[in-house]
Amino acid sequence: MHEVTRLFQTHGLVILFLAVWLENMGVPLPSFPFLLGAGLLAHSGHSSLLSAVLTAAAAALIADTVWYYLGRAVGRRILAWICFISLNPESCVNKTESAFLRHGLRSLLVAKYVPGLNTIAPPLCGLLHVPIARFLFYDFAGCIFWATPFIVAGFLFSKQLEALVGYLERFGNFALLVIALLVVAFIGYKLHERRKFYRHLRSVRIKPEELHQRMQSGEPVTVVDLRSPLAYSTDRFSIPGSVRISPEELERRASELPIGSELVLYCT
Amino acid sequence: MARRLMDSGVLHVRPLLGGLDAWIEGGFPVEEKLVEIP
Repeated sequence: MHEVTRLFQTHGLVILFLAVWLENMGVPLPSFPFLLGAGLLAHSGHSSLLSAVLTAAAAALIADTVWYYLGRAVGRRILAWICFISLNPESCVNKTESAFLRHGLRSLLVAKYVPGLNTIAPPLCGLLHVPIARFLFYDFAGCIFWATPFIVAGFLFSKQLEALVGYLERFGNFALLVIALLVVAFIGYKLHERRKFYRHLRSVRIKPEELHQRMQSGEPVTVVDLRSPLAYSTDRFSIPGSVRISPEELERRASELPIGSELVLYCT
Repeated sequence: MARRLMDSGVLHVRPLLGGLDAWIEGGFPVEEKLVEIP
């Protein structure tokens, strides 16, 4: 544990940069302890508040720019891929996409605080061919708004954090092991939940052939198009007889649906 | 979405495997206009 604190004291900004960059690239590594640590470093004179904020913001901006260009190059498939690797597949593309379309580029200012939106917003900007200069401007401001409160909190609560680090140091490597185990347990739990969710989806989803057959034989099936306005505007084809409704509206009006009716939902 | 609907009591909710892309790739019919829910 001593070695870890010493390493952070000597290479704090490099470690901060890597942690923030990895998290923003999609690695399930929480960077907020590193941001708090950077505030603590600034308080102890190992770096300055400004350099800590700029380092974190630059790391996040670089990762977001990679996602921006991936969105631009790969198109909508990148969003499906992000949803697939996400630890929270339920906070999936449609809802975050709608939020982004409602608030435009301003949503980049708060995107880092909103689960789902933080991952989807940069590739969505690329997909929508937002000019790179405008993207960089709003995204950098968003990165600053995100990193600053954590780093300042680390700076302001440095006494308490130092006490906590000192307390953990008394347990030596055992404390490090416990922290590592907690992180692994958290990721393991999320992966298990995700596997369960996908297993459930696999068991209930309907194949296109089956749906077509049922529609042909006149069985009562309500087909719902849940595509976002963006996806709909780029591809106006739909399944014959399907109704278009937003996920929020469908959820709100779920109680109006006849009991026993079967719904088939589709996106792109 | 499917899961949340099931949680709110709509029992028979089934996502379409592969979405619209799979439907089109399978050669099934499509239409250009949709019925909009008011």
